[in-house]
Amino acid sequence: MNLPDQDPVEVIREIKRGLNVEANFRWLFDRHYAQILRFFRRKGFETEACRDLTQDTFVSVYKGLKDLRQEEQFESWLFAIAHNVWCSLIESRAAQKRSATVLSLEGAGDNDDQLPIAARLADPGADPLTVALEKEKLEKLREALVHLPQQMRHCAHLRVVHDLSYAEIAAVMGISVNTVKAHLHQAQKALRTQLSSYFEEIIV
Amino acid sequence: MRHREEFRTYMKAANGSSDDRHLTEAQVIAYCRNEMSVAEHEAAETHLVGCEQCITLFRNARDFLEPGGDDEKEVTAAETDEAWRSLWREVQGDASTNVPAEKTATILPGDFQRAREKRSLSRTTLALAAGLAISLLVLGWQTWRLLSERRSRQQSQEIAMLLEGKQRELEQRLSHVEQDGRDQLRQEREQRLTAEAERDQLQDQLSRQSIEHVPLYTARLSSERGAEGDVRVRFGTATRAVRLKLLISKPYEFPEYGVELSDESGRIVMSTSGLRPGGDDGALSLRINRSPLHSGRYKLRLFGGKEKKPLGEYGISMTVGR
Repeated sequence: MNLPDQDPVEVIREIKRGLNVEANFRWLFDRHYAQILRFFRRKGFETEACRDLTQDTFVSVYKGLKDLRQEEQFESWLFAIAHNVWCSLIESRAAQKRSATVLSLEGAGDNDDQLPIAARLADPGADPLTVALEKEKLEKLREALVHLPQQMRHCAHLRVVHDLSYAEIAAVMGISVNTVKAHLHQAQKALRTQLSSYFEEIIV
Repeated sequence: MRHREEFRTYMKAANGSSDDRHLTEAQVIAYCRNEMSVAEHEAAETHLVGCEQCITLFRNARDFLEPGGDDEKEVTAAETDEAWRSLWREVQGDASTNVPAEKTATILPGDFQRAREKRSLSRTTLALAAGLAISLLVLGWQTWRLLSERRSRQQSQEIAMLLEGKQRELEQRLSHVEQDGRDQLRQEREQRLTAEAERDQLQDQLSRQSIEHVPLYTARLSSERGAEGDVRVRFGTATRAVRLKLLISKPYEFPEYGVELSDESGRIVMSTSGLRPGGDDGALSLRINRSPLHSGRYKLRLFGGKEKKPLGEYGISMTVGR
Protein backbone atom coordinates (compact mmCIF):
# COMPACT_ATOMS: atom_id res chain seq x y z
CA MET A 1 0.00 0.00 0.00
CA ASN A 2 1.39 3.37 -1.01
CA LEU A 3 1.07 5.89 1.79
CA PRO A 4 1.79 9.63 1.63
CA ASP A 5 5.28 10.35 2.96
CA GLN A 6 4.74 11.65 6.48
CA ASP A 7 6.59 11.61 9.77
CA PRO A 8 4.71 9.27 12.13
CA VAL A 9 5.74 11.35 15.13
CA GLU A 10 4.21 14.49 13.59
CA VAL A 11 1.08 12.57 12.64
CA ILE A 12 0.65 11.36 16.21
CA ARG A 13 1.25 14.86 17.59
CA GLU A 14 -1.41 16.26 15.27
CA ILE A 15 -3.88 13.61 16.40
CA LYS A 16 -3.13 14.47 20.01
CA ARG A 17 -3.74 18.13 19.20
CA GLY A 18 -7.03 17.22 17.54
CA LEU A 19 -5.87 18.16 14.03
CA ASN A 20 -7.15 16.11 11.08
CA VAL A 21 -7.81 13.26 13.44
CA GLU A 22 -9.60 11.03 10.95
CA ALA A 23 -7.10 11.49 8.13
CA ASN A 24 -4.12 11.16 10.40
CA PHE A 25 -5.45 8.13 12.20
CA ARG A 26 -6.34 6.55 8.86
CA TRP A 27 -2.73 7.04 7.84
CA LEU A 28 -1.51 5.25 10.96
CA PHE A 29 -4.08 2.51 10.44
CA ASP A 30 -3.05 1.92 6.84
CA ARG A 31 0.59 1.85 7.91
CA HIS A 32 0.15 -0.81 10.59
CA TYR A 33 -3.05 -2.74 9.81
CA ALA A 34 -1.39 -5.52 7.84
CA GLN A 35 1.36 -5.81 10.46
CA ILE A 36 -1.11 -6.33 13.31
CA LEU A 37 -3.32 -8.66 11.30
CA ARG A 38 -0.25 -10.71 10.39
CA PHE A 39 0.79 -10.83 14.03
CA PHE A 40 -2.49 -12.41 15.07
CA ARG A 41 -2.46 -14.77 12.08
CA ARG A 42 0.97 -15.98 13.13
CA LYS A 43 -0.46 -16.70 16.56
CA GLY A 44 -2.70 -19.23 14.89
CA PHE A 45 -6.08 -17.51 15.13
CA GLU A 46 -8.75 -17.87 12.50
CA THR A 47 -9.25 -15.12 9.92
CA GLU A 48 -12.33 -13.60 11.53
CA ALA A 49 -10.77 -13.70 15.01
CA CYS A 50 -7.65 -12.02 13.60
CA ARG A 51 -9.76 -9.19 12.19
CA ASP A 52 -11.57 -8.74 15.52
CA LEU A 53 -8.33 -8.76 17.49
CA THR A 54 -6.77 -6.27 15.08
CA GLN A 55 -9.78 -4.00 15.43
CA ASP A 56 -9.63 -4.31 19.24
CA THR A 57 -5.97 -3.34 19.05
CA PHE A 58 -6.68 -0.21 16.97
CA VAL A 59 -9.61 0.80 19.17
CA SER A 60 -7.24 0.69 22.15
CA VAL A 61 -4.68 2.67 20.15
CA TYR A 62 -7.30 5.33 19.30
CA LYS A 63 -8.41 5.62 22.92
CA GLY A 64 -4.93 5.61 24.39
CA LEU A 65 -3.10 7.77 21.88
CA LYS A 66 -3.72 10.99 23.83
CA ASP A 67 -1.83 9.49 26.79
CA LEU A 68 1.18 8.37 24.77
CA ARG A 69 4.08 10.43 26.04
CA GLN A 70 6.89 9.36 23.74
CA GLU A 71 5.64 9.53 20.19
CA GLU A 72 8.93 8.09 18.98
CA GLN A 73 8.11 4.87 20.84
CA PHE A 74 4.80 4.42 19.02
CA GLU A 75 5.72 1.11 17.43
CA SER A 76 6.80 -0.42 20.75
CA TRP A 77 3.61 0.88 22.26
CA LEU A 78 1.54 -0.59 19.41
CA PHE A 79 3.26 -3.91 19.93
CA ALA A 80 2.55 -3.75 23.67
CA ILE A 81 -1.14 -3.20 22.94
CA ALA A 82 -1.32 -6.05 20.42
CA HIS A 83 0.57 -8.27 22.85
CA ASN A 84 -1.84 -7.38 25.66
CA VAL A 85 -4.83 -8.11 23.43
CA TRP A 86 -3.31 -11.50 22.67
CA CYS A 87 -2.48 -12.17 26.38
CA SER A 88 -6.02 -11.24 27.43
CA LEU A 89 -7.45 -13.66 24.92
CA ILE A 90 -5.08 -16.44 25.97
CA GLU A 91 -5.89 -15.87 29.64
CA SER A 92 -9.62 -15.85 29.05
CA ARG A 93 -9.36 -19.06 27.03
CA ALA A 94 -7.19 -20.63 29.74
CA ALA A 95 -9.72 -19.61 32.36
CA GLN A 96 -12.53 -21.19 30.33
CA LYS A 97 -10.46 -24.32 29.97
CA ARG A 98 -9.75 -24.44 33.70
CA SER A 99 -13.39 -24.05 34.61
CA ALA A 100 -14.34 -26.77 32.10
CA THR A 101 -11.82 -29.33 33.39
CA VAL A 102 -12.04 -28.65 37.09
CA LEU A 103 -13.59 -32.07 37.82
CA SER A 104 -11.06 -33.97 35.78
CA LEU A 105 -8.22 -32.47 37.82
CA GLU A 106 -9.49 -34.07 41.01
CA GLY A 107 -7.02 -36.67 42.20
CA ALA A 108 -4.32 -35.61 39.81
CA GLY A 109 -2.10 -34.34 42.65
CA ASP A 110 -0.72 -37.80 43.27
CA ASN A 111 1.80 -37.34 40.51
CA ASP A 112 4.70 -35.52 42.20
CA ASP A 113 6.70 -35.40 38.98
CA GLN A 114 4.43 -32.59 37.77
CA LEU A 115 5.58 -30.30 40.62
CA PRO A 116 8.58 -28.04 40.09
CA ILE A 117 11.83 -29.42 41.46
CA ALA A 118 12.26 -26.54 43.90
CA ALA A 119 8.79 -27.21 45.37
CA ARG A 120 9.51 -30.89 45.70
CA LEU A 121 12.83 -30.22 47.44
CA ALA A 122 11.20 -27.79 49.85
CA ASP A 123 8.32 -30.11 50.67
CA PRO A 124 8.80 -31.23 54.32
CA GLY A 125 6.72 -34.36 53.70
CA ALA A 126 8.90 -35.59 50.86
CA ASP A 127 10.94 -38.75 51.13
CA PRO A 128 14.40 -37.73 52.40
CA LEU A 129 16.21 -40.18 50.14
CA THR A 130 14.40 -38.92 47.06
CA VAL A 131 15.12 -35.36 48.09
CA ALA A 132 18.80 -36.10 48.53
CA LEU A 133 19.02 -37.79 45.13
CA GLU A 134 17.20 -34.98 43.42
CA LYS A 135 19.46 -32.43 45.08
CA GLU A 136 22.51 -34.28 43.91
CA LYS A 137 21.19 -34.53 40.35
CA LEU A 138 20.43 -30.83 40.32
CA GLU A 139 23.86 -29.92 41.64
CA LYS A 140 25.57 -32.13 39.06
CA LEU A 141 23.55 -30.59 36.26
CA ARG A 142 24.42 -27.10 37.48
CA GLU A 143 28.09 -27.99 37.62
CA ALA A 144 27.99 -29.40 34.10
CA LEU A 145 26.17 -26.33 32.75
CA VAL A 146 28.62 -23.95 34.41
CA HIS A 147 31.45 -25.61 32.51
CA LEU A 148 29.76 -24.99 29.16
CA PRO A 149 30.55 -21.74 27.32
CA GLN A 150 27.89 -19.13 27.99
CA GLN A 151 26.53 -19.01 24.43
CA MET A 152 26.35 -22.79 24.28
CA ARG A 153 24.63 -22.92 27.66
CA HIS A 154 22.07 -20.33 26.56
CA CYS A 155 21.36 -22.23 23.35
CA ALA A 156 20.84 -25.45 25.28
CA HIS A 157 18.55 -23.73 27.73
CA LEU A 158 16.44 -22.12 25.04
CA ARG A 159 16.14 -25.41 23.27
CA VAL A 160 15.38 -27.66 26.23
CA VAL A 161 13.42 -25.37 28.54
CA HIS A 162 11.62 -23.07 26.10
CA ASP A 163 11.49 -25.51 23.21
CA LEU A 164 12.58 -22.89 20.71
CA SER A 165 13.34 -23.81 17.13
CA TYR A 166 16.85 -23.44 15.75
CA ALA A 167 15.77 -20.32 13.89
CA GLU A 168 14.23 -18.83 17.00
CA ILE A 169 17.32 -19.56 19.06
CA ALA A 170 19.42 -17.98 16.33
CA ALA A 171 17.20 -14.90 16.45
CA VAL A 172 17.37 -14.63 20.24
CA MET A 173 21.11 -15.09 20.33
CA GLY A 174 21.86 -13.10 17.22
CA ILE A 175 23.84 -15.95 15.68
CA SER A 176 23.41 -18.18 12.64
CA VAL A 177 21.30 -21.35 12.63
CA ASN A 178 24.38 -23.42 11.90
CA THR A 179 26.14 -22.04 14.95
CA VAL A 180 23.09 -22.92 17.02
CA LYS A 181 23.17 -26.48 15.69
CA ALA A 182 26.87 -26.79 16.46
CA HIS A 183 26.40 -25.42 19.98
CA LEU A 184 23.56 -27.81 20.70
CA HIS A 185 25.53 -30.77 19.42
CA GLN A 186 28.51 -29.88 21.57
CA ALA A 187 26.33 -29.23 24.60
CA GLN A 188 24.55 -32.55 24.23
CA LYS A 189 27.88 -34.37 23.95
CA ALA A 190 29.34 -32.67 27.02
CA LEU A 191 26.24 -33.14 29.15
CA ARG A 192 25.92 -36.80 28.22
CA THR A 193 29.54 -37.41 29.16
CA GLN A 194 29.13 -35.87 32.56
CA LEU A 195 25.56 -36.74 33.46
CA SER A 196 24.85 -40.11 31.88
CA SER A 197 24.76 -41.76 35.30
CA TYR A 198 22.14 -39.32 36.54
CA PHE A 199 19.77 -38.91 33.57
CA GLU A 200 18.36 -41.67 31.41
CA GLU A 201 17.97 -39.46 28.36
CA ILE A 202 19.72 -36.21 27.55
CA ILE A 203 18.46 -34.66 24.33
CA VAL A 204 19.39 -31.11 23.54
CA MET B 1 9.42 -38.99 26.58
CA ARG B 2 9.13 -39.08 30.36
CA HIS B 3 12.94 -38.99 30.70
CA ARG B 4 13.14 -36.09 28.30
CA GLU B 5 10.58 -34.18 30.35
CA GLU B 6 12.52 -34.94 33.51
CA PHE B 7 15.69 -33.50 32.00
CA ARG B 8 13.74 -30.41 30.94
CA THR B 9 12.41 -29.94 34.47
CA TYR B 10 15.92 -30.15 35.92
CA MET B 11 17.29 -27.76 33.30
CA LYS B 12 14.58 -25.29 34.23
CA ALA B 13 15.44 -25.59 37.92
CA ALA B 14 19.16 -25.29 37.20
CA ASN B 15 18.69 -21.82 35.80
CA GLY B 16 16.31 -20.68 38.53
CA SER B 17 18.39 -17.71 39.58
CA SER B 18 17.33 -15.54 36.65
CA ASP B 19 16.87 -11.82 37.16
CA ASP B 20 13.32 -11.08 38.28
CA ARG B 21 13.01 -7.86 36.29
CA HIS B 22 11.27 -8.76 33.07
CA LEU B 23 12.02 -7.04 29.81
CA THR B 24 9.58 -4.43 28.58
CA GLU B 25 8.01 -4.51 25.15
CA ALA B 26 10.25 -1.62 24.10
CA GLN B 27 13.34 -3.46 25.33
CA VAL B 28 12.37 -6.61 23.49
CA ILE B 29 11.74 -4.63 20.30
CA ALA B 30 15.12 -2.96 20.74
CA TYR B 31 16.69 -6.35 21.38
CA CYS B 32 15.15 -7.78 18.20
CA ARG B 33 16.31 -4.79 16.18
CA ASN B 34 19.77 -5.01 17.71
CA GLU B 35 19.47 -1.45 18.97
CA MET B 36 20.85 -2.16 22.45
CA SER B 37 24.35 -1.52 23.72
CA VAL B 38 26.58 -4.58 24.15
CA ALA B 39 26.08 -4.62 27.92
CA GLU B 40 22.30 -4.18 27.64
CA HIS B 41 22.12 -6.86 24.99
CA GLU B 42 24.10 -9.29 27.11
CA ALA B 43 21.95 -8.63 30.18
CA ALA B 44 18.76 -9.04 28.12
CA GLU B 45 20.04 -12.26 26.61
CA THR B 46 20.91 -13.70 30.01
CA HIS B 47 17.45 -12.83 31.27
CA LEU B 48 15.71 -14.15 28.18
CA VAL B 49 17.36 -17.53 28.49
CA GLY B 50 15.96 -18.04 31.95
CA CYS B 51 12.59 -16.33 31.62
CA GLU B 52 9.72 -18.08 29.90
CA GLN B 53 7.56 -14.97 30.03
CA CYS B 54 10.15 -12.87 28.24
CA ILE B 55 10.83 -15.60 25.72
CA THR B 56 7.14 -15.51 24.87
CA LEU B 57 7.37 -11.76 24.56
CA PHE B 58 10.39 -12.13 22.33
CA ARG B 59 8.56 -14.61 20.10
CA ASN B 60 5.62 -12.25 19.84
CA ALA B 61 7.92 -9.35 19.04
CA ARG B 62 9.41 -11.36 16.22
CA ASP B 63 5.95 -12.16 14.92
CA PHE B 64 5.16 -8.46 15.12
CA LEU B 65 8.30 -7.24 13.38
CA GLU B 66 8.80 -9.95 10.80
CA PRO B 67 7.64 -8.78 7.34
CA GLY B 68 5.08 -10.88 5.50
CA GLY B 69 6.49 -14.01 3.89
CA ASP B 70 5.66 -15.45 0.51
CA ASP B 71 3.58 -18.15 2.10
CA GLU B 72 1.44 -15.61 3.97
CA LYS B 73 -1.76 -14.22 2.58
CA GLU B 74 -1.38 -10.62 1.48
CA VAL B 75 -3.68 -8.01 3.00
CA THR B 76 -5.52 -6.25 0.19
CA ALA B 77 -6.48 -2.57 0.01
CA ALA B 78 -10.16 -3.49 -0.06
CA GLU B 79 -9.74 -5.53 3.10
CA THR B 80 -7.96 -2.62 4.79
CA ASP B 81 -10.70 -0.17 3.67
CA GLU B 82 -13.40 -2.37 5.05
CA ALA B 83 -11.54 -2.82 8.33
CA TRP B 84 -11.05 0.95 8.55
CA ARG B 85 -14.76 1.65 8.02
CA SER B 86 -15.62 -0.86 10.69
CA LEU B 87 -13.07 0.57 13.08
CA TRP B 88 -14.09 4.16 12.48
CA ARG B 89 -17.75 3.32 13.02
CA GLU B 90 -16.83 1.72 16.30
CA VAL B 91 -14.66 4.53 17.59
CA GLN B 92 -17.18 7.15 16.48
CA GLY B 93 -19.95 5.12 18.10
CA ASP B 94 -17.96 5.04 21.31
CA ALA B 95 -17.44 8.76 21.06
CA SER B 96 -21.14 9.46 20.55
CA THR B 97 -22.11 7.22 23.45
CA ASN B 98 -20.00 9.41 25.64
CA VAL B 99 -22.23 12.41 24.80
CA PRO B 100 -25.16 12.60 27.26
CA ALA B 101 -28.45 11.65 25.60
CA GLU B 102 -30.87 14.56 25.10
CA LYS B 103 -34.17 14.48 26.89
CA THR B 104 -36.99 13.19 24.77
CA ALA B 105 -40.39 14.87 25.02
CA THR B 106 -43.36 15.61 22.81
CA ILE B 107 -42.88 19.07 21.39
CA LEU B 108 -45.37 20.87 19.22
CA PRO B 109 -44.16 22.87 16.23
CA GLY B 110 -45.05 26.20 17.89
CA ASP B 111 -43.38 25.24 21.12
CA PHE B 112 -40.36 24.13 19.17
CA GLN B 113 -40.15 27.49 17.41
CA ARG B 114 -40.53 29.42 20.67
CA ALA B 115 -38.13 27.23 22.44
CA ARG B 116 -35.65 27.71 19.64
CA GLU B 117 -36.13 31.51 19.72
CA LYS B 118 -35.83 31.48 23.50
CA ARG B 119 -32.75 29.35 23.37
CA SER B 120 -31.36 31.52 20.62
CA LEU B 121 -32.16 34.68 22.62
CA SER B 122 -30.78 33.30 25.78
CA ARG B 123 -27.71 32.14 23.92
CA THR B 124 -27.23 35.63 22.44
CA THR B 125 -27.74 37.20 25.84
CA LEU B 126 -25.37 34.76 27.40
CA ALA B 127 -22.81 35.39 24.69
CA LEU B 128 -23.15 39.16 25.14
CA ALA B 129 -22.96 38.89 28.90
CA ALA B 130 -19.96 36.64 28.64
CA GLY B 131 -18.32 39.05 26.20
CA LEU B 132 -19.07 42.00 28.47
CA ALA B 133 -17.80 40.17 31.49
CA ILE B 134 -14.63 39.22 29.66
CA SER B 135 -14.19 42.82 28.43
CA LEU B 136 -14.69 44.13 31.95
CA LEU B 137 -12.28 41.59 33.30
CA VAL B 138 -9.70 42.49 30.68
CA LEU B 139 -10.25 46.21 31.30
CA GLY B 140 -10.01 45.75 35.04
CA TRP B 141 -6.93 43.68 34.69
CA GLN B 142 -5.32 46.22 32.35
CA THR B 143 -6.16 49.07 34.75
CA TRP B 144 -4.84 47.14 37.68
CA ARG B 145 -1.71 46.35 35.73
CA LEU B 146 -1.21 50.01 34.75
CA LEU B 147 -1.79 51.17 38.31
CA SER B 148 0.58 48.57 39.61
CA GLU B 149 3.20 49.60 37.10
CA ARG B 150 2.75 53.29 37.95
CA ARG B 151 2.91 52.58 41.64
CA SER B 152 6.01 50.50 41.27
CA ARG B 153 7.54 53.20 39.04
CA GLN B 154 6.76 55.86 41.67
CA GLN B 155 8.20 53.71 44.37
CA SER B 156 11.31 53.18 42.31
CA GLN B 157 11.63 56.93 41.70
CA GLU B 158 11.12 57.70 45.39
CA ILE B 159 13.69 55.15 46.35
CA ALA B 160 16.08 56.56 43.75
CA MET B 161 15.54 60.12 45.04
CA LEU B 162 15.96 58.99 48.60
CA LEU B 163 19.16 57.28 47.69
CA GLU B 164 20.40 60.32 45.81
CA GLY B 165 19.62 62.56 48.81
CA LYS B 166 21.41 60.17 51.10
CA GLN B 167 24.35 60.11 48.75
CA ARG B 168 24.47 63.93 48.60
CA GLU B 169 24.24 64.16 52.35
CA LEU B 170 27.04 61.68 52.74
CA GLU B 171 29.16 63.53 50.20
CA GLN B 172 28.55 66.83 52.05
CA ARG B 173 29.37 65.22 55.33
CA LEU B 174 32.48 63.78 53.84
CA SER B 175 33.56 67.13 52.36
CA HIS B 176 32.90 68.82 55.73
CA VAL B 177 34.92 66.22 57.49
CA GLU B 178 37.67 66.67 54.95
CA GLN B 179 37.56 70.47 55.29
CA ASP B 180 37.54 70.25 59.08
CA GLY B 181 40.41 67.87 58.89
CA ARG B 182 42.32 70.21 56.59
CA ASP B 183 41.62 73.21 58.86
CA GLN B 184 42.59 71.31 61.92
CA LEU B 185 45.72 70.12 60.22
CA ARG B 186 46.62 73.64 59.17
CA GLN B 187 45.96 75.00 62.65
CA GLU B 188 47.97 72.26 64.18
CA ARG B 189 50.77 72.93 61.72
CA GLU B 190 50.68 76.63 62.52
CA GLN B 191 50.56 75.90 66.20
CA ARG B 192 53.42 73.55 65.80
CA LEU B 193 55.42 76.13 63.86
CA THR B 194 54.64 78.78 66.45
CA ALA B 195 55.52 76.41 69.22
CA GLU B 196 58.71 75.49 67.47
CA ALA B 197 59.57 79.15 66.95
CA GLU B 198 58.83 79.85 70.61
CA ARG B 199 60.82 76.86 71.58
CA ASP B 200 63.74 78.02 69.46
CA GLN B 201 63.46 81.48 70.88
CA LEU B 202 63.29 80.18 74.40
CA GLN B 203 66.14 77.85 73.70
CA ASP B 204 68.13 80.81 72.36
CA GLN B 205 67.32 82.87 75.37
CA LEU B 206 68.07 80.00 77.62
CA SER B 207 71.33 79.28 75.95
CA ARG B 208 72.20 82.96 75.92
CA GLN B 209 71.30 83.24 79.53
CA SER B 210 73.20 80.17 80.44
CA ILE B 211 76.21 81.08 78.37
CA GLU B 212 76.18 84.81 79.02
CA HIS B 213 75.34 85.58 82.54
CA VAL B 214 76.56 89.09 82.05
CA PRO B 215 76.08 91.71 84.82
CA LEU B 216 75.40 95.25 83.61
CA TYR B 217 77.08 98.29 84.97
CA THR B 218 76.21 101.82 84.03
CA ALA B 219 78.82 104.55 84.11
CA ARG B 220 78.40 108.21 83.34
CA LEU B 221 81.61 109.44 81.90
CA SER B 222 82.72 112.91 83.13
CA SER B 223 86.15 114.54 83.44
CA GLU B 224 85.58 115.84 87.09
CA ARG B 225 85.68 112.43 88.68
CA GLY B 226 88.84 111.57 90.70
CA ALA B 227 90.03 108.29 92.14
CA GLU B 228 86.92 107.97 94.27
CA GLY B 229 84.84 108.70 91.25
CA ASP B 230 86.10 105.59 89.41
CA VAL B 231 83.63 103.31 87.89
CA ARG B 232 83.55 100.19 90.05
CA VAL B 233 83.22 96.92 88.32
CA ARG B 234 83.13 93.58 90.08
CA PHE B 235 83.56 90.16 88.56
CA GLY B 236 81.95 87.39 90.64
CA THR B 237 83.55 84.01 90.80
CA ALA B 238 81.19 82.68 88.08
CA THR B 239 81.12 85.87 86.04
CA ARG B 240 82.86 85.55 82.73
CA ALA B 241 82.17 89.07 81.49
CA VAL B 242 80.39 92.28 82.36
CA ARG B 243 78.58 94.77 80.20
CA LEU B 244 79.40 98.38 80.76
CA LYS B 245 76.81 100.87 79.68
CA LEU B 246 78.65 104.13 79.01
CA LEU B 247 76.61 107.31 79.12
CA ILE B 248 78.37 110.17 77.40
CA SER B 249 77.40 113.88 77.12
CA LYS B 250 77.07 114.14 73.34
CA PRO B 251 76.56 110.61 72.15
CA TYR B 252 75.71 111.48 68.56
CA GLU B 253 78.70 113.73 67.99
CA PHE B 254 80.39 110.80 66.25
CA PRO B 255 78.76 107.97 64.44
CA GLU B 256 80.92 105.48 66.23
CA TYR B 257 83.32 105.32 69.09
CA GLY B 258 86.35 103.37 70.20
CA VAL B 259 87.53 102.35 73.69
CA GLU B 260 90.89 101.21 75.09
CA LEU B 261 91.44 99.74 78.51
CA SER B 262 94.92 99.79 80.01
CA ASP B 263 96.28 98.64 83.34
CA GLU B 264 98.30 100.60 85.84
CA SER B 265 101.52 99.90 83.94
CA GLY B 266 99.98 101.39 80.81
CA ARG B 267 99.59 98.06 78.97
CA ILE B 268 96.48 97.97 76.86
CA VAL B 269 94.49 94.94 77.94
CA MET B 270 91.47 95.52 75.75
CA SER B 271 90.66 97.60 72.69
CA THR B 272 87.44 97.85 70.82
CA SER B 273 85.95 100.10 68.10
CA GLY B 274 82.75 100.50 66.11
CA LEU B 275 80.61 101.12 69.18
CA ARG B 276 77.43 102.91 68.14
CA PRO B 277 75.23 104.89 70.40
CA GLY B 278 71.85 103.22 71.00
CA GLY B 279 68.64 103.59 72.92
CA ASP B 280 66.97 106.76 74.14
CA ASP B 281 70.05 107.92 76.03
CA GLY B 282 72.56 107.15 73.26
CA ALA B 283 74.54 104.88 75.57
CA LEU B 284 77.48 102.87 74.34
CA SER B 285 77.43 99.23 75.29
CA LEU B 286 80.80 97.73 76.01
CA ARG B 287 81.53 94.15 76.90
CA ILE B 288 84.55 93.48 79.11
CA ASN B 289 85.80 89.93 79.41
CA ARG B 290 87.24 88.72 82.63
CA SER B 291 90.16 86.71 81.30
CA PRO B 292 92.95 89.29 80.94
CA LEU B 293 91.94 91.28 84.03
CA HIS B 294 93.10 91.33 87.59
CA SER B 295 91.83 93.31 90.48
CA GLY B 296 93.15 96.86 90.35
CA ARG B 297 92.79 100.22 88.69
CA TYR B 298 92.48 100.54 84.97
CA LYS B 299 92.20 103.47 82.61
CA LEU B 300 89.48 103.67 79.98
CA ARG B 301 90.21 105.90 77.01
CA LEU B 302 87.36 106.98 74.76
CA PHE B 303 87.91 107.90 71.09
CA GLY B 304 85.44 109.43 68.64
CA GLY B 305 85.04 108.44 65.00
CA LYS B 306 87.19 106.37 62.77
CA GLU B 307 90.00 108.77 63.08
CA LYS B 308 90.06 107.96 66.83
CA LYS B 309 89.84 111.43 68.25
CA PRO B 310 90.62 111.21 72.01
CA LEU B 311 87.59 112.30 74.00
CA GLY B 312 88.55 111.49 77.56
CA GLU B 313 90.24 109.14 80.02
CA TYR B 314 88.40 107.60 82.97
CA GLY B 315 89.38 105.42 85.85
CA ILE B 316 87.79 101.97 86.43
CA SER B 317 88.32 100.03 89.58
CA MET B 318 88.12 96.31 88.89
CA THR B 319 87.52 93.67 91.49
CA VAL B 320 87.99 90.18 90.15
CA GLY B 321 86.81 87.39 92.46
CA ARG B 322 88.82 84.14 92.62
